[in-house]
Amino acid sequence: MNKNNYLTSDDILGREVIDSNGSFIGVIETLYIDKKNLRIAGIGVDKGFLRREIVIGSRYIEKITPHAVFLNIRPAYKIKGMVIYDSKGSKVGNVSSIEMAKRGNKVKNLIISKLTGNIIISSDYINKIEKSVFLNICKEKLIK
Amino acid sequence: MEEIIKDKSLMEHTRSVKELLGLRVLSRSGEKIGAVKDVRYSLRAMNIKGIFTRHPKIGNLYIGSDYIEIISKDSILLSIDPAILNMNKKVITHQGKVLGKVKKIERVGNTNIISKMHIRRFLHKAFVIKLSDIGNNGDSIILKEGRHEQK
Repeated sequence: MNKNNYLTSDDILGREVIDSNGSFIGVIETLYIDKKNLRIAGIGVDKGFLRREIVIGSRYIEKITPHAVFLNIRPAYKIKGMVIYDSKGSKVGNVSSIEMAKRGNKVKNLIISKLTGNIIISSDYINKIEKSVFLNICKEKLIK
Repeated sequence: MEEIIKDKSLMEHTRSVKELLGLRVLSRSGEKIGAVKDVRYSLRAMNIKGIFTRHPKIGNLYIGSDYIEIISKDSILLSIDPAILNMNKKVITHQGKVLGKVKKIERVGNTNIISKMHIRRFLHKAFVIKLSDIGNNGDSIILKEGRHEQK
């Protein structure tokens, strides 16, 4: 066994995690190993003081470098709190919660909480997600 | 209201300049830059040439109409992420090493095209990166493989 071809848990634990957008997610706190085949199933990332650990599957790891672990995704939880704008740039509201698809990092619905009730926006209406969420539909049509 | 115009179509798709004041200005990626403080129009062509806005960290900003994509009821959407918004972004190597933060941005003339960015880190010598060094520009700037990795 050539030791140079392998990483140890010491090499990985404590390493910073960077998402596909260049944002620092946190540091690796736990390694999850599959009981059956002994392969690494994912990593547990500590997001900081008083924040819950996030588990990221190994298929979302793009590369492991001496300084950080890079992901090939932007975790969906990052969308929470973002402002949602319609196709014309009018503000619809803020993302208060996210409904995820059964598997993976896919968003099913975005939910905006308002005093008058929740607005549920299907992912079909999402045009792009960057610093804010842009929809491909105008506010009037969405609320109808 | 009485209208005195030769061609009726000249009134279509127009808006009062007063209505533009106070509209929120959004970058291409959805970052709120500020609100419209002033509008400049050409005395010759009689059309809007640009808008003034104020970013809380960067200060006053003039954005030419070439970079305006949509003017809606309550927002002005730009077709660009102003280069100046890269100020203070973290710069990291392809290996994930933090090299410092963007402290100065040089552009091609007054356009939005970046020519160089000056990077500085506490107790380290400042250095310059070129646009060709950048692999990914998001929440932080990730350099291409092999660029500035020895630093």
